Amino acid sequence: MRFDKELLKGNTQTLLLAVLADSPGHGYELVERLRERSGGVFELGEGTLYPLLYKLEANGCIESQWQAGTGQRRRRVYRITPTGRRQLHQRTAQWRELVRGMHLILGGPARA
Amino acid sequence: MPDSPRIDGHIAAMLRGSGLPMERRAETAEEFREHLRASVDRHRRAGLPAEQAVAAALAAFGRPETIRRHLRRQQRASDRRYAAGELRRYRGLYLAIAAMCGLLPIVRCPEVVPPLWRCLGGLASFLFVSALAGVAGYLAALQECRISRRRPREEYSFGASLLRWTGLAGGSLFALVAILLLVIGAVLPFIHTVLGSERPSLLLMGAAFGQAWLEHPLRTFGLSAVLVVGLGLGAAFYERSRCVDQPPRLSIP
Repeated sequence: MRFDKELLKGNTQTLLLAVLADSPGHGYELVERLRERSGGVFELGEGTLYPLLYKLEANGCIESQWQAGTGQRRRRVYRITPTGRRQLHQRTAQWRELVRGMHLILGGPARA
Repeated sequence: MPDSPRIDGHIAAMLRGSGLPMERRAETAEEFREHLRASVDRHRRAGLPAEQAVAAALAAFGRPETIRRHLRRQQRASDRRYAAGELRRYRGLYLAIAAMCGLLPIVRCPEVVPPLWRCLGGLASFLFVSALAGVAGYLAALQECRISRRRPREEYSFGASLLRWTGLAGGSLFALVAILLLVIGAVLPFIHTVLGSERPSLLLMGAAFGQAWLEHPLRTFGLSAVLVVGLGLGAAFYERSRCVDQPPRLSIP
């Protein structure tokens, strides 16, 4: 399903932090996890994920490390930091409150 | 499976003009390639032929101009963070200069001016110089970011570089002259008072400077212009010398 970009704006970082909170992963793995965990709802432009990852890294929410793969190939693996976990906690709380408000107006379960 | 030239071309198109430094560019290219390889493998496992798998992986990754725009925005944000950090680092120096300049109206105003007006003049002078010094410091740090990273020569434009550096040199010269005049005006009277010698008249110094402009406007302006353009040319040539002829090898063996 294609979303209005404005709806997703600002939430992609939360989604990334959420999928990284489970376990570390490289870029493609994160895309796969997002796709699977959202039941195919979030089909993000895969390339646009990386600038977001770099931004999160610059903000200290995640950190990365190059790890050797098969042969001479290597992968950059991202992991969440304690700062990132705090951010995720705050953003999740804000999001739940927002959803509750939206439900109250649009109809649906008031408790998110 | 050997890498498709289309993947190399796509990655090169994404990184060209992204503003990323060369070292970062090579790492990003490697990361993107690894991602695209994994994506191609997945499409191959789903039963697509090689060329179609590559096309599907590239389509899912996104258009080069979109990714480039995001990368450029991210790099600019990173530069701004660095410049803001530099501004915080040197804020003591800027504030000290501004404080000295803020004393000027208080010290140099004629006695007939009421103290309240002198203080207001000092405050205005302090705010003006701190803003001027802050903006100059911020812009200089941004330019430092730009010049300190190596970029491919094909992304370099001598005209744009000359224009940018000449503008920055002209603005800096103006700010420097303004700050120096204010600092001289604020500090010299104190020094001469402490040393007990006769106070130099700032008004005379200012008048002499103004007179030089009035008497020889062409010469003064011409010298300033030569200085500014010379600085701009030097910086533009230096920036060009920092560029590299070939982008880093994108293929990984």
